[in-house]
Amino acid sequence: MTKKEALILLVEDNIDDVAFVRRAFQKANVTAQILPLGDGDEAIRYLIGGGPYSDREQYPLPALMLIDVKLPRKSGHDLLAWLQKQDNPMLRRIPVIILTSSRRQADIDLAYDLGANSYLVKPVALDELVDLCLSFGRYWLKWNEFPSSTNH
Amino acid sequence: MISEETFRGLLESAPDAIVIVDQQGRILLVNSQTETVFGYNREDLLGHPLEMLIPLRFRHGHVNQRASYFASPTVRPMGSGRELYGRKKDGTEFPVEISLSPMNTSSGLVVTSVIRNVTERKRAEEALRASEAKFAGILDIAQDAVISVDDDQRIILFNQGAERIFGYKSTEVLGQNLAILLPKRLAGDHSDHVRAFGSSPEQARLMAERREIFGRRKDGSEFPAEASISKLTQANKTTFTAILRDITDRKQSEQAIKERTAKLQDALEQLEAFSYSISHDLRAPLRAVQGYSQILKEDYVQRLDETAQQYLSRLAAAVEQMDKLIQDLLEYSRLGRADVVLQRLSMQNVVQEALKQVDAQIRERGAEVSVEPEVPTVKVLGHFSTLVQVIGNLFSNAIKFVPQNRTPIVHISSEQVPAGARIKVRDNGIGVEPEHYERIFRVFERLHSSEAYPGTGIGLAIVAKAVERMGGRVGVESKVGHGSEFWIELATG
Repeated sequence: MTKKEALILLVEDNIDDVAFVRRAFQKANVTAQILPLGDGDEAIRYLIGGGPYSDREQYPLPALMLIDVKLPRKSGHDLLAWLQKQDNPMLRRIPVIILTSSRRQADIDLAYDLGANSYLVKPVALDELVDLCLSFGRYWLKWNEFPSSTNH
Repeated sequence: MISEETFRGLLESAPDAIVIVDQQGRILLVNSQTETVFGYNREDLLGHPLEMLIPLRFRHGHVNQRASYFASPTVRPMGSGRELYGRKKDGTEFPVEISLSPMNTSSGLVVTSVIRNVTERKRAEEALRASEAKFAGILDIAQDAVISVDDDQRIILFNQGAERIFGYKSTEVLGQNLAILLPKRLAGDHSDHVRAFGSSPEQARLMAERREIFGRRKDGSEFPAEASISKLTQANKTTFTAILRDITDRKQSEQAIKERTAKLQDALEQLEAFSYSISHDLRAPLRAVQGYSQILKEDYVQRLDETAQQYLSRLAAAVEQMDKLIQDLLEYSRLGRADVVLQRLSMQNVVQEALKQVDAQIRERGAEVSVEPEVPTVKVLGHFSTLVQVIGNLFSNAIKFVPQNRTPIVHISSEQVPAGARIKVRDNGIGVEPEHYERIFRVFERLHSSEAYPGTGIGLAIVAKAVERMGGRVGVESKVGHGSEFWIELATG
């Protein structure tokens, strides 16, 4: 089995932020495949392999999830709650990192209560976002150990 | 047969005046109490007509009454239903009670009158009546309902307040069961409570302390009430007295306050949500503009001419200004609402942290910042991050408002004041005219164009609001062209 690029689900409704994050990962030379999904419902559809995502070869489970808090339909918190109550350990154990512009304490606390593995606030300046992606790549993709059966 | 001596002894030891008269109304015998009560010597009385002991105005009538008594003599109290009066030797009158008993003797029918001076008793009765009238008067002017019930919960007292509150006349309810004053749904409960209270050792209790109670008016309508109840046990009979107040109005205003508080709470939450929206939604497109202009500058710099690059810089500066403005506004509104819990803070930590915030600015302008040695030893009552922001903003202004050709020199010092500690930040900047001393602490007040001195016009407003929330004062002293000294005062606890 050849080692593939890690797959990161980026659940983010703002296409500008998607563009910035993609660029920042590139600039930071992080080798990962980033798949953006626009809202919580879409993410759940992907995770259970529903609709267009039924082919697990083409749409494997991600190594990590980067999710925004404020999303249309199901919010980032809803998505965390959904993951937490899944029987399938492969879903339940996916590391989830919040990446949002909300610094609201209530949002932060709720995210951790719902099992978020980390909470990152999007820096405004792009070079800082590159810096964040650099640290992120080193921490999560180089040093972090993953649970079994995810695609890293 | 008792002896004459024993008889005398009995007569003399009697507590009342005893006067024996013959059929002609002449006094045959008196005891010494008679002398005391009427003020005559025995010799003045014996053989004289009984009527001398009676007020003048009754004497004539008495002669006739005496005659009819002798016609059918019985043992009876005299003058039932009438007030009887005796007359002393000095002419003063006094109320009496008399009982009469006929007696046949060898010298014919005689009548023994036992006469009691009831002045004291009458006075006590009068005082009691006056006191009762006073009590009734108090009861009637009371705004509250005062209702007493007996052991069987029959109403025995119902004042005017009760009449007004319940809509019944007292004559309609006296003797009725208390249940008619209570909502039918609660009447059973209530009598259980009264019974329980009757057997408890408590003397008084506030009924509403335990639960909300309700009364029922004559028209059947219910009203919320607050009542206290007391019990009085006399001769094995217990009287319960309730003092009850209709609290409809109070309940209504409580309800109104509750509703208004809920509305305010709602408005506050909306404001909170609004602030959040501003922070998230308003800043998102701003960040996009900022990001793309940065990308253009970084990734496409070779393909842009100098003018385009200049425009990009202006674009970035405008966006940054707007972002700062939004952040400052959010911070200002947050300060107005957030809970500020005061703690004892070391100024050393505060100043250190504040210096970190303005580190970039210090380096950019090559500013010299000095801290007076005693400042780090000062302890003040404040909220850490809020105070750090206050000092940070003062540092930032002190560096910013210095002409470009001058090296900013900032000095922070402290002194003791009656209110606690005064922290002073002095600069060598452009200064502030005295007429602007107050204006500069208001939101959006700027004295200079943002080209000359960039800023949002909110920095000092945040300082003033923050210091106010920490219970302190803020002010400035300045000399135009030479510099300013901004100060804050906080309690030292």
